[in-house]
Amino acid sequence: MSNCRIGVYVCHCGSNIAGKVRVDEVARYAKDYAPDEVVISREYKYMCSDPGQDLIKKDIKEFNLNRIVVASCSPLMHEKTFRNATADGGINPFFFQMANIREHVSWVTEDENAATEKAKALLIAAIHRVMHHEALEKRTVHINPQVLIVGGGIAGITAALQIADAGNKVFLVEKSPSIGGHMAQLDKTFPTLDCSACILTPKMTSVGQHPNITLMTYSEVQEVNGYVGNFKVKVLRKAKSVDHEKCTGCGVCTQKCPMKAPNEFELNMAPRKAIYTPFPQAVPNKPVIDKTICTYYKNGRCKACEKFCGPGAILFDEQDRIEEIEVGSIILATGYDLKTAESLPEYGFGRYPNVFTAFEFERLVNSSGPTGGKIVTREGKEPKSIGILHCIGSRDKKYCEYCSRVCCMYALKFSHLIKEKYHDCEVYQFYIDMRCFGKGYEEFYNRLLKEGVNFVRGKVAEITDAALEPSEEGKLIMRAEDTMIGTVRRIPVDMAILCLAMVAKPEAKELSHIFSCSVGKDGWFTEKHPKLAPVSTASDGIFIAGACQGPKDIPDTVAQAGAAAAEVLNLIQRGEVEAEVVTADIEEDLCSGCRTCVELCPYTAITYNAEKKKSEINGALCKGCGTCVGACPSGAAYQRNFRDEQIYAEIKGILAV
Amino acid sequence: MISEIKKYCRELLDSKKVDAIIGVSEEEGQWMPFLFTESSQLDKLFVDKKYPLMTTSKPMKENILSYIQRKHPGMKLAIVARGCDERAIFELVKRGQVKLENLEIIGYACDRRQAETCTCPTPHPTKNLKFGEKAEGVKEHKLAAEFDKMSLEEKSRFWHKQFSKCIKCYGCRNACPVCFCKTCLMEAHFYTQPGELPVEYPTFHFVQRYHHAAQCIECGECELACPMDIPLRLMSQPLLRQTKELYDYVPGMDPEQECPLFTIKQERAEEASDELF
Amino acid sequence: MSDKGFEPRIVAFLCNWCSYTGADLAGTSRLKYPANVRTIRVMCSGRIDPLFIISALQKGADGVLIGGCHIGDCHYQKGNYSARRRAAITETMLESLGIDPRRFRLEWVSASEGPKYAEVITDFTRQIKELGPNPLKKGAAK
Ligand code: SF4
Ligand code: SF4
Ligand code: FES
Repeated sequence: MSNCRIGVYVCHCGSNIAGKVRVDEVARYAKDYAPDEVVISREYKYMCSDPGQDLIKKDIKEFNLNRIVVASCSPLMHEKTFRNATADGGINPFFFQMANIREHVSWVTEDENAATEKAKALLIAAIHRVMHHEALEKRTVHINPQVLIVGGGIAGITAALQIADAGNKVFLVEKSPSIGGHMAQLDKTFPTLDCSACILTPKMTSVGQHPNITLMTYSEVQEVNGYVGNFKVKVLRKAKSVDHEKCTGCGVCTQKCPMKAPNEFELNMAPRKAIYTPFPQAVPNKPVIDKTICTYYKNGRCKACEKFCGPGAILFDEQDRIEEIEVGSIILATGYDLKTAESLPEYGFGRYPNVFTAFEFERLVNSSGPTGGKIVTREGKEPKSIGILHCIGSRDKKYCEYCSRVCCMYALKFSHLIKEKYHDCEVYQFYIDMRCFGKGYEEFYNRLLKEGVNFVRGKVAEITDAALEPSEEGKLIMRAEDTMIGTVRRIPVDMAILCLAMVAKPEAKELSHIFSCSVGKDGWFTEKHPKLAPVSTASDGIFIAGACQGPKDIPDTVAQAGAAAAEVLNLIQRGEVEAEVVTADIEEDLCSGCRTCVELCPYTAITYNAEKKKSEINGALCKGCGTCVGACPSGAAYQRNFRDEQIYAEIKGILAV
Repeated sequence: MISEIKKYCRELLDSKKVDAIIGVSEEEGQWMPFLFTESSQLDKLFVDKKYPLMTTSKPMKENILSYIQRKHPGMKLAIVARGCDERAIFELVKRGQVKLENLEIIGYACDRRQAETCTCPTPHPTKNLKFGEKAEGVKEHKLAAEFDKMSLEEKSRFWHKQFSKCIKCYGCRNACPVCFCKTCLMEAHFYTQPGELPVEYPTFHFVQRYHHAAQCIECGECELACPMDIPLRLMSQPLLRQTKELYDYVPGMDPEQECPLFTIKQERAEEASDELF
Repeated sequence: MSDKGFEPRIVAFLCNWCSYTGADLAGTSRLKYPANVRTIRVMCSGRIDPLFIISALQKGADGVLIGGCHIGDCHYQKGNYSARRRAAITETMLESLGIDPRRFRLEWVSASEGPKYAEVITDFTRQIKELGPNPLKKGAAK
């Protein structure tokens, strides 16, 4: 192109390049190849040094250059450096192209001739390409300081308090009627044995009272639009049928309500009412009406709660509604589930009444639980022997290949709690191997070894009630291979506790679509980098904390929540972030509205405008992968700095030598 | 058959079930697409001659159906369609060019003779067959057996010879009922040297073949249009076979079915696997 | 039909985040591989239009390589899914044109797989040498 005035610079990089590539020959070749466009072609010892960069700046002035090509190291190394030099010289930094003749040529090639030829080809490609470059502008986006946190377990609570304490507005969305999450169901926490509720409840209360936190319980995120700094979020506020502004939380409605249902918080081991607060320390400590049970919603009669409610807070007509909020960053702290015990039929849960899940047992030992803290069988009897089964569903190729990380420790905790209450009860731990990796964990294990617990190294393969001997009559028999002594043992117990695998929430996949982040093969959210960016996701401005990323104990969860909060505060502090420049766009005139591109965009940045019959790219959402561009049959979609003509020019140039 | 179709169309128009019918008309030996709005015009309706009804017409820069749907939104339309017309409509629906709302497809089957002329594997509408008997389709291109036996070198030589005949008339593209871009990449300077003949082999032809890899409805129009008798469909058929094998996808069969090149839903659902194909 | 002394030219389209970085790593590790490959950087393998491939072949490349992140590792999450679908079609397309589909390769090379990159290039170069010059090159055909 005749109006191009290109400056070409071939770097020696000391002997790194010049030792293998005949740089003078390459520089001369460029000039001879395109004498009209290449105004000046130089070689220089270190282009990235200050004098090297000054050379570019000086030449731009002196020779009135409008394009710069540097053949040196990898663009991943110094593209920024030379772009800046180009800009300092007074031309748009995108009128620059780099040829990688170090990493891709001199360092990997044996033969000097071959290296020189290859360097020429890459340089000529860059020269062809730069002729088609265009000026591009840097963009920044503003960060809205409001934050959305999804999930009101210990992770969400911790992050919310840290961000709110720093003076920022937080929306905390929780699906159930109260925050607290799984931690609220636990009795004691290992290894320190402090009471879970005692350390959690004050935090829950702070969340409830915090002026910067808007608590949205009984709510779910339905839709997220936008991009880092500027998300628009639709939250479904399910009808609570109780006006929480008016309600004083006196609880008389709950007393008067005649309808009962199993209480999920107690793992269905105790009843609750149709109008209920899930547990006594709930935040908010105000009830909701479960419409599926309430007789008023079913057949129009009752209204007992309304009659007795002093402040008149009952709102039978309340409808689900959508609330829209705007936030700049999002933390996902949606937690985990335990694998359902029914999915492992070999352990007889449901078939044998005295097979308990770990959570059931937590409630059983909890003094506010359904038995007031008494460990009893489902028949109400005191068990004389209890088996605790590790790794149920975990570390098992058939179910979950991973280790759930917490079971060994809470299994030990269970043993301790049982021994505390019934000193004579025989407790058996069936384990594959003990994983006590945390601070104070191994010590806790050693302590338990002295408490008279039986450790059987072997995984229980099956629970059965088929007695072979009189001593097994009426008991649950644990069949396990004791790998210490190498025999299969049958151990009869009165009660069995399944330490079930921690699994990803079933809705995680759907959430990953809503929040445009991804889940791995086990359904846990994928972090941006497993080591260096453990709480970031592939979507800027969206972070993850706690067990939604993978099995974790409470200390790790809290630490991660803190890290996510710090990431968010960092964004807020900065106030704006630089946006991707090499984004895609669609030439309206050329677009035929075929929608090929729409589905393919990983960031749902493309929408179809039905009125215009054209597709449109939201530049703020586009990250610049170019997938749409590679797919567009009409040549309507283009990517900045990676336009078709630029790449074709590069192909042409690279094959010209 | 024609009289039955006419009768049916007359009823549709007279009863005001539809406002207009798109079909081919014949006047003084000239065929052209026609918008029948009065039943009196139906004498001119013609179905015997194959006509690329859904093709993008040059002056309108779009096909007749999308043109009318755009100009007269809400107009209740019917279209007299062969199997290939129906398939074209379905493909164009997937690409947002035409709508099925307010559109009745009056499908009729072609006979075996017509199927042979077009080398048409499905000479009848699959969803809207109203008139005529299904005839058996022609599954294989007349040169397929010979072509499939060729070695790579022979194929390469074969195409060199074939494409050296190309006079760059754009006939294959112009006749294609599933081509719809506003500007065609076959004309882009980085694929085709302006003014050069024969065209740069094989980019010129690759453009259209690749774009229709999972879109070609095998109507045969391109080959019928090519004045130099280049057997273009020999190039598309392996692609169609492949999309059928890999994704169980046949273009033009179902407007709901997503083109496998437009979607990665399956991958989203699948566990990540590194396998190449 | 391997030509003695035939030095093929291979064009490699590499995604910025994995394969290009992997190629850089091969360099920083001073691994040696044949000089026949010439790289073109794109942001993601999803950017690559099969028409690039045919165009490179038509302009005289003897082989074309696409390098992308491993499935599931794409910097943009899903770009390489599209690349994979297109590559399947490209192969068939080449074959039906009478171009040996072995002249085209799709490989997943991660940022840490410098050695793999060197191996891929070595192997691909060897293969292209075996296949001989690209018959599409102007004047190559009778
Ligand atoms: S370049 Fe990638 S991120 Fe941007 S709109 Fe296209 S497909 Fe989406
Ligand atoms: S693929 Fe191209 S022509 Fe089709 S909608 Fe997208 S930008 Fe428009
Ligand atoms: S970024 Fe490497 S394949 Fe998408």
